[in-house]
Amino acid sequence: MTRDGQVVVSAVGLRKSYRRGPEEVRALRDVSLTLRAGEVVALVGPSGSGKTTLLNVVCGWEQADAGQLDWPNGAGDRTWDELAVVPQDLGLIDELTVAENVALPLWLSGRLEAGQAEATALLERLGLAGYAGRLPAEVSLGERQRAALARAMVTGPRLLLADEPTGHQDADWARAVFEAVRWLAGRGSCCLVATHSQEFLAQVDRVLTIRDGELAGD
Amino acid sequence: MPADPPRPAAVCAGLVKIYWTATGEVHALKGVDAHFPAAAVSAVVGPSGSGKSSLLRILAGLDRPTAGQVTVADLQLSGLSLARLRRLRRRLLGYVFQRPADNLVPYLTVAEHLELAARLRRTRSRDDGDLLELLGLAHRRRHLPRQLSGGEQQRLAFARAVVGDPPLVVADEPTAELDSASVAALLEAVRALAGRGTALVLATHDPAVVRLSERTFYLRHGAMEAEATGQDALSVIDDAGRVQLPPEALELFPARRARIGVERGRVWIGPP
Repeated sequence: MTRDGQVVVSAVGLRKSYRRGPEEVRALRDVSLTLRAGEVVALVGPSGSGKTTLLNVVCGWEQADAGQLDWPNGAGDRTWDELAVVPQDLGLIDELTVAENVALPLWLSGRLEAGQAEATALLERLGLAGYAGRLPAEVSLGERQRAALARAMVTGPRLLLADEPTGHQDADWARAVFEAVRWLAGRGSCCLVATHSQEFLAQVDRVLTIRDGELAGD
Repeated sequence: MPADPPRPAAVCAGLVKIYWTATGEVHALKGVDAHFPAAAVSAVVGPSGSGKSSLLRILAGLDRPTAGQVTVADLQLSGLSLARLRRLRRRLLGYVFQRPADNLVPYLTVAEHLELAARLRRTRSRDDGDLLELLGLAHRRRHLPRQLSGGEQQRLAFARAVVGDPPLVVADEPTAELDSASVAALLEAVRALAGRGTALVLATHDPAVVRLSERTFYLRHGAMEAEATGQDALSVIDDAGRVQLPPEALELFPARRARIGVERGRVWIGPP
């Protein structure tokens, strides 16, 4: 377990641009940030401001054109224990039940038995216990989104990245999602959450604002 | 006594598929018969709307026929409950979509894709170094899909589909979005995979895929128009005895009437 305050990742001078037709979009221009264990950090900005690109670069799904990511305590190899993601399109596996999707990281790392209690507790906490045996196609979008969050939390990752995790939740479930993220941070994880939710913003430790690919701190 | 011919990986008998849309009924398949050989590559060709995708989805257990029978590895798929079909599909069938990104999970590495496939198939998880080697992906084990080229992604999709050596893998135009160098590498991989014992059925417009295939099925308007083994095309005679004439032969019959005779084991057909 990482101690609170330890640097999980620091990014220096990240740049990323891509072409959209004739236009060059500069999604990240010289972005630097430091994320620490135990904190919940919100990432806000209008759509198209670079939020998703920044999350993708930090988790390694996209390569930055320039700049550096430094993982002083080893999260660089991106195992499930180090880094877990709730992507906007959720990425649940159609052939697996809700419970199997949530347990997938345990399954893949050969710790299904050791982590089963944790997985069951997360299903309970996020209101999925009654749907555990259903396929993703047989539950609502809000339930699928909470399943993707539970899957990301089940290993207690050093860094959690979540892209609009309350986007499909009503007010009550949005609160439950936030409480779950807070609880994870309380156990030493760092949580970076792209969000529009005002209620969420009122309760995070820090807010990072991104606009036209440039980051402004809190 | 001659040895029994090897059993086909899949058999379709009288497959009918009707979709009901806002504008009426669409008869996507109108009684298709086909035997797909085991441990070999078969191509299904035909113009858009000919019923290729309907046939593939039914073969893969993703859809059910309106009428007719599908048998995979001697197991009857038609008539199974959806839950049972799902379990069977996990074990016996692989499916590869046209778009590489649709086949892969963005947050799983190459090695994790194979691990997941092994667990879904309930085969013992083993080191699939051989398979990755065969597909030219051995140096990519720890990479995510986005770090692979389109051709590598599609090879990974096939690798995932053949884990545990299922009897049948179907792929819907798997080369459509690849450049020609990637197509060549993919086809080499597909041929190698068939050598491991899996039958691969590929819907395609690509002549390179047809050249590689041991058997080719020609669909038109939801019916099997012809079948070829290697380069040798065979016309299909349906259960009612109908044969489709090639367009150049049709020109001989402007009145659309013919005389037909049988002589010494051959059939002749001529203008009246």
